[in-house]
Amino acid sequence: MEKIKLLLLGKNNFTYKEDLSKVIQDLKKELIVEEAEMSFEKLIEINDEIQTKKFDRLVIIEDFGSLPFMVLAKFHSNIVAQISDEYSSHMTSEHNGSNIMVIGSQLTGKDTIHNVVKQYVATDFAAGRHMVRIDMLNELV
Amino acid sequence: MKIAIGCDHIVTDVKDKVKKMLENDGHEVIDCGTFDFERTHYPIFGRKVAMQVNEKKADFGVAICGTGVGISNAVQKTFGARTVLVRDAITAIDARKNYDANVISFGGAVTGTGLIYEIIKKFISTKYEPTPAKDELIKKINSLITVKKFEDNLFDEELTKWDKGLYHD
Repeated sequence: MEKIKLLLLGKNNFTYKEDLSKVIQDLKKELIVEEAEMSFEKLIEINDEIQTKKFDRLVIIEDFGSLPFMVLAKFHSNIVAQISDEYSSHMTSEHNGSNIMVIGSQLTGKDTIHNVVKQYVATDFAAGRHMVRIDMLNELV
Repeated sequence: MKIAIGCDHIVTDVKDKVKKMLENDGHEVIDCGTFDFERTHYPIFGRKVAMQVNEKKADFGVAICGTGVGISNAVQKTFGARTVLVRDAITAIDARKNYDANVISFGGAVTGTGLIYEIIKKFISTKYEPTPAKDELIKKINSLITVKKFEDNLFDEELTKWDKGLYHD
């Protein structure tokens, strides 16, 4: 069973715990939830977890989403989707094989966050021709 | 101002329109391609934009693909680049003020040219507001990639495999 980690960064975002946990569990995924304060060091710690395959995909809710994107996208094999709409959500799972999604809660309404997470988790990577771009991204770092 | 712009084949028309808008404002635009709708790969163009900025050939970069996810990752995985993927001006302004972002990324299939243009104008006119803590954070972000992989043949293996039809659905 695919294992999803839901990471709520910053006290304001702890309110998403119940709703988003239900979204992920309803899709029959194994769930790990963590609430934490936002810091560069915390992001490095999370990167270590994803690099060592403690879970398959990571969903981050943070105020703007910019720092988690900037830090985590610097690492080999991480593809981070800093998004706020349903179209990007399923496309990034299907075409980019994104293993990390980060949503800025200060910019995105609660119902949209719910839908974006749902579409992301419900969609699988199509691989095929898209793999050439993933291989290229991995050449970069 | 000198602005490097790049895109993949999904949004060449969007890139061309944004390029014209910026040129009409008197900016010098360095067009990193792609130039048509023939299937190609976003890492090539995201990397080109980021390299132009890193080598000080451009003041800022603009990167566009369908959702912006692929090309923003290509930019961010390039030495010295700091980008964000946005659909709003607030995030773009925040990225300039707090992280001295040097490239702005967009999903051309999810964001209209008018809004892209508006956000770019805000992005390039917002100044970084330095503090010792922000300077330190930017140093930490930059230190995550220490090797400058700017060689021309970086993607040769993937492109050869692509041409041979080894990547297919």
